[in-house]
Amino acid sequence: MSHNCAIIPIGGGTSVTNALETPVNETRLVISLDMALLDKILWIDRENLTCRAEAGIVGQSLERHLNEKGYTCGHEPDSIEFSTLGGWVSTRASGMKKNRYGNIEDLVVHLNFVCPKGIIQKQCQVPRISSGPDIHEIILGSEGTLGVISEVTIKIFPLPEIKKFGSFVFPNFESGVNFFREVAAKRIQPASLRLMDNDQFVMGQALKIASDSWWASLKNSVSKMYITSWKGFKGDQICAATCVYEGCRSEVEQQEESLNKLACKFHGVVGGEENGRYGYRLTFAIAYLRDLGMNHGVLGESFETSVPWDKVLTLCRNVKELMRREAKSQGVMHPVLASCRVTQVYDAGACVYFYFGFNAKGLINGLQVYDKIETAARDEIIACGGSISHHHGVGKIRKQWMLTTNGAVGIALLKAIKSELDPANIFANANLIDIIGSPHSKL
Amino acid sequence: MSHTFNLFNIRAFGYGVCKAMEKLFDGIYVNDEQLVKIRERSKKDCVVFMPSHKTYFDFLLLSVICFQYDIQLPAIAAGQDFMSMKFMAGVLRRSGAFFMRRSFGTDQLYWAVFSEYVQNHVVNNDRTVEFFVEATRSRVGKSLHPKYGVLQMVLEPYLRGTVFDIVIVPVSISYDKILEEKLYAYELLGFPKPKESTGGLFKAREVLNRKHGSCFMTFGDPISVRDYFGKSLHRGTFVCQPDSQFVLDVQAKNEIKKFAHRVVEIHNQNAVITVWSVACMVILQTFDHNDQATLSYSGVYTRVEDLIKLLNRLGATVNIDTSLDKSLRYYLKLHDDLFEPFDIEADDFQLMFIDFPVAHQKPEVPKAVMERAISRLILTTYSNGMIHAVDSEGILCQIVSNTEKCHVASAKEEFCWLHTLMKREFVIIPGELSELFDKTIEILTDSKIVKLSDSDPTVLEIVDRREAEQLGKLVLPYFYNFEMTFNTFDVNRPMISNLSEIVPTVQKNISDAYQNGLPNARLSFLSTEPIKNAFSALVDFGAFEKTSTGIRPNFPKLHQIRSRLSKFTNLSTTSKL
Repeated sequence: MSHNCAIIPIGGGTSVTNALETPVNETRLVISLDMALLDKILWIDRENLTCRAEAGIVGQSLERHLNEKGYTCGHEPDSIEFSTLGGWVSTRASGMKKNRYGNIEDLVVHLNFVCPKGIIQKQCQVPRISSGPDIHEIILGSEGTLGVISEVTIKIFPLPEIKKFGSFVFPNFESGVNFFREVAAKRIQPASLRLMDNDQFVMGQALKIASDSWWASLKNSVSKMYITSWKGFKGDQICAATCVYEGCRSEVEQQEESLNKLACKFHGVVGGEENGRYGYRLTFAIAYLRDLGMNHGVLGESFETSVPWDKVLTLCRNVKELMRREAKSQGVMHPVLASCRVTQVYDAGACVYFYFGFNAKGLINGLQVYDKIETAARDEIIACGGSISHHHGVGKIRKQWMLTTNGAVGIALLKAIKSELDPANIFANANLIDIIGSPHSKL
Repeated sequence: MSHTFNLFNIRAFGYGVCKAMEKLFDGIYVNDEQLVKIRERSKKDCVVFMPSHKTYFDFLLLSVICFQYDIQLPAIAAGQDFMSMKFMAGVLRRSGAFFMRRSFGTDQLYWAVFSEYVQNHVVNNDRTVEFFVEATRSRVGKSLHPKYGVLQMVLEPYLRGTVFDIVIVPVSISYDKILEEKLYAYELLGFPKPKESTGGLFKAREVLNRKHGSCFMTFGDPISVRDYFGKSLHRGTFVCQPDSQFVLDVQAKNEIKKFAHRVVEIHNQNAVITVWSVACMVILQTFDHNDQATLSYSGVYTRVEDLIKLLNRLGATVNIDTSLDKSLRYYLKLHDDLFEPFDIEADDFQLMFIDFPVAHQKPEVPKAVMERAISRLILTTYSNGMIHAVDSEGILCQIVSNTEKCHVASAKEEFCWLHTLMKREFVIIPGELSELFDKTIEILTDSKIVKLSDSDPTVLEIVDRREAEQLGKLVLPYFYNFEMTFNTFDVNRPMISNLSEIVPTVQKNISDAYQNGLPNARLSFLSTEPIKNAFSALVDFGAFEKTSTGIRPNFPKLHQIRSRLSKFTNLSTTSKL
């Protein structure tokens, strides 16, 4: 068999890290390995609550099939319309409702991994195993550099009795973060919990006016007057949290009650279900908004990080400030959108999303300016104690921070794994690290 | 510890200060385009002023200027010695000063509370912050070796990520006549420093009734800490520890130390060199030949003119108002309290220094010597104001003229060693001596005083022997001062209980040398400051061993240092002592 080819697997194609791009200096024949036809559910095991499916199955379709049978996989990334099961595993994905169901690494029970040396596959499908370092951990997040995932067994869960949205309004971002921290400390997080900063809150309002106004619906429960005059919230500081409750009726009621009580302690005001629903809808809309903006010369993108609790506030403030100042020094003429939200809570920290957009009018190369600013922002994130990525992965655009993140020995280990599993560099998408001797190596 | 800032007080106190200043100063010069820039910066980031420190007036002046230019008045970390001034302490507090202990020692709580207090100002940025990197007023007219504690405290919020950026503004303040000049002279000779008291301040009204010439405040380019440390200090290395356990590693501490030295360097670069400073240098040199010399105005004038030419050749400028003659006469009149009366209007006139009364008698040094020394110390303080412009050049010229065939490499080694020895006298940036050496060679070759030999480019040659010698002479006294201090240690007295105890012995030796008419022994060497610096240099070089009963000089090592130094000074006479 000729080895003289390169393979780049593709699932839903929702990567935001250029992970699917062919390296410029790849001279071999490139095979784009589209997983789209591997989209069957193989079996559902009601006894153990697991499901085995082929890796190319799209999230939405997997979920629909499971729902028909009364189950859910619980994994719900914002890209669920397009992204695939195999893609989730290979990028170490995270879902909106991870508080209840866990991230992808918590959901995977078993998988088949095809690499040039052969197949990696455990002999049993067990809840936990102590057999040395977990081989799954090498495959999770390998981003197609070592091989391709063909089948996955994941946990499934009975559909929750109730799914309910909720929302809160806080006088400022700081009290919102403090509320989140307390929620995590008390371990009373509902299935999903998100906090948007003032800019995003204001933007959300602006987008809403076209349909039915936020304030109009808010009037039923809490009026604008109540928020600004009675409670004294300031329009340029106010921020909002949205959440999703899932579970049986009593469980949801209890969660709601304890959360509402705690929010009061942090000067929060309960904002009602409709606003919560709207908040989540907006998330799905953002990806489409980006493309719409581009048609009008507005460049924007989002990127994420994870950060320990004690550094959340300083990181958010510094990164936003950096984006504003950097944009100015790069010659952006109009005020920029530099906004963030806290999208996940963990025991030891949180996941923070940044949104950055600007009007590229008058700039020679707006995209280049965007890249420069995002790079500077990532440097700042890391300097403030954040990580290279929470769930978008490394791909190609974040490779430059792999060495600082993992250290020289760690990188050497990753290289060793690569050269053992794929010595001829057939899986040549060049994500994560540069390998010595490969055509895309910088060394 | 805290200040009790209020604006009413500022206005009331400010009125008094402004009135006093109108009386005191002929003019206060500031570079105002820089101040406008700083005002804009201070809206975004916390501005930290780091002024040079020569007198109490430094922080009053800075506050007045800030008030004038609409910049938030600084919260000032001042030394605790002001606190004992009864009424004034309150006034100063209300003007935004807060007081800190000279040393925190092991008092961790004090350190914690104090740094929290300082950092709160930086983080909230509702006031600018001001502190003195030299920690205390320089009594000697030149920069002191910087201290690092408060700087580290101030920078910490940036390193922790609590603030986006901090802006450091070095401020050089030069005075034509320092208020405390005489006080300093007495203090340096070793008379106990009078306690700061409000009564003392009123007595100082006599001083306040005199004109003190002009004051020059140069605000340096605002330094963004983010830009400055962007490459050298990776905040990413501190984030593995929780916020509550924040500790800086050695490398970070070193970078911060370096920065402190850099600020001092900027102070010097921006300092205004006055004609008076040059004149004092010249007068002191004249005394080297004949200590009883009567100076003629015309003689001083010619030599000042020569030295200014030399300084210009090196790229340093001296501030001259309309003409040198006018400037020099202006300064002589300003400092006429040092001289017997003279007629400033005459074409030429004689200058005689007066002796200042000394109340305390020290057994080691005759009273008459002490009395004469006061004016010499004052002169030295002012002459020090220009030494930063010639220190490296002087050292290099002296090395090259001393050596038969001077290789660049060996000159560099000697240059670095001497600078390290003198690091408390001439402030340098640690770890950047090599760059300093290269820069010095460049200056000296550009000014055609030294060149690389045509036949062998690894050898340095003197081009202009006269100027090279002159440059050497400018720095040599500092080395003689050290050498005489080193020579005090005697093999016959191997044990010393503590170093400050032998300061009088050093002073006695110097006074004896002076009375015996030994060359190169200056009265200004009696100053305790260089003597203590010399001791510290020996400590740095490991020339002392600590024992349970005291300190024992390591004589082989001491001898080594002495002989290496004497190669440079060629001072054979005192080494016999």
